[in-house]
Amino acid sequence: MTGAPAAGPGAASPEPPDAPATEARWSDRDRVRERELLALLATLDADDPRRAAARDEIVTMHLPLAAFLARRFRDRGESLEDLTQVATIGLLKAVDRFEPERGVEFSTFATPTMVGEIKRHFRDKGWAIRVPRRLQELRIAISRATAELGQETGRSPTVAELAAHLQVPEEDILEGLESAQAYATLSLDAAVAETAEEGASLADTLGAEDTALGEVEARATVHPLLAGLPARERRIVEMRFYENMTQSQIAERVGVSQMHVSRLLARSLAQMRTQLVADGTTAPPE
Amino acid sequence: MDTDPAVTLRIPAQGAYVVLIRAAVSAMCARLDFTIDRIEDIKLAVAESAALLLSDAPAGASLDVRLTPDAPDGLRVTMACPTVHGRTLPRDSFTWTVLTALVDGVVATVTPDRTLRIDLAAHRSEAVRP
Repeated sequence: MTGAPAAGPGAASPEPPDAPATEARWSDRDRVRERELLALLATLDADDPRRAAARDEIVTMHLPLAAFLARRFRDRGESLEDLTQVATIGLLKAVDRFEPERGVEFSTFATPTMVGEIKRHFRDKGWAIRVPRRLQELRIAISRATAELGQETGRSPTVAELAAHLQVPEEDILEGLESAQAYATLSLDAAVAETAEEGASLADTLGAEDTALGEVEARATVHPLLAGLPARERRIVEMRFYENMTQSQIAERVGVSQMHVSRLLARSLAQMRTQLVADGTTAPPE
Repeated sequence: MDTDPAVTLRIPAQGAYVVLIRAAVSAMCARLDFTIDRIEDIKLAVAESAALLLSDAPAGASLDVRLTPDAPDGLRVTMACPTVHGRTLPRDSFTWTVLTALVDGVVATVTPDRTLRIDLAAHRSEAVRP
């Protein structure tokens, strides 16, 4: 049971009732293992096959911390499941960005990254403000029903099947699906407002300039765009567009809901488009 | 219902209106009993196509969308919009890769008056027998 963050006989210090139990339960052995892994990661090339295993192990060790941080943001209109996933994305980023030579504890470094990711999640999406509670609940119910029906039939359900299963009109299912996508739609249509002139959405900004699609979009430029995505999103984009896996298959592989995969895909594509424009040879107007 | 009529939609060529296309595509796919996976893919392809079309649309242009049920189990989505430069969609572009992964057929054509037209064909691939 090496590396498991279980309470050993030596871990006698009582935990504060509402603190992340992670660190308190850690044995010296876990800490040593963590340092080994982080040191190993720092020496491996980006495409070294051993990276994934080391990364996974560190992430697994810190999942309780991600879950703890996610719980701090519950009751704000997001499911705990989604928040934990977002925190885990932050955790992955932290693993990739961590520099052992700086002499900071990894958990100290990772916590603000995870909290930042959760806050960005709320800020980017405006979820709590824009989507009524009824739709949030519907979205969660659809997500659950999609998984259940998928288990039974081995394929993703139709709108009619979901409506029958949840005993709501088909229109509600469509509405729920669209609200799940509110994330991606908002990020495309509203996120630029902060930087561009007020009221100008990304698509408008795009329309106003010469994006030289023929050249800018050449295959060679796709790799840096992909590299600009967070690791998990990049992997999901690759699985969908280069390995032709379905969203449900990806969901199963990555361990998130199909709706979450759909959202991450839409967001990633939007981000890559933004990046294309930012990297373009012509500067935005003004 | 193998002779379902086509639906046409004309929106201002501005990002804020793309949501209307998505909603129409969603509802049409549900009518045709597509699975959620397929619907999300088609919506993603439509959004990607719209982004491409809008990126080169002149001010005040409209984007035309036509949704045609394709018996027995398909849907064709045609999107057309005037463009400033009259460029087509290169086959080595990421957008092309994305579209061809999401739907079963993609055709991009530019007319002499510089209207870019993107045709997407999708089928209800997974076995669904209502």
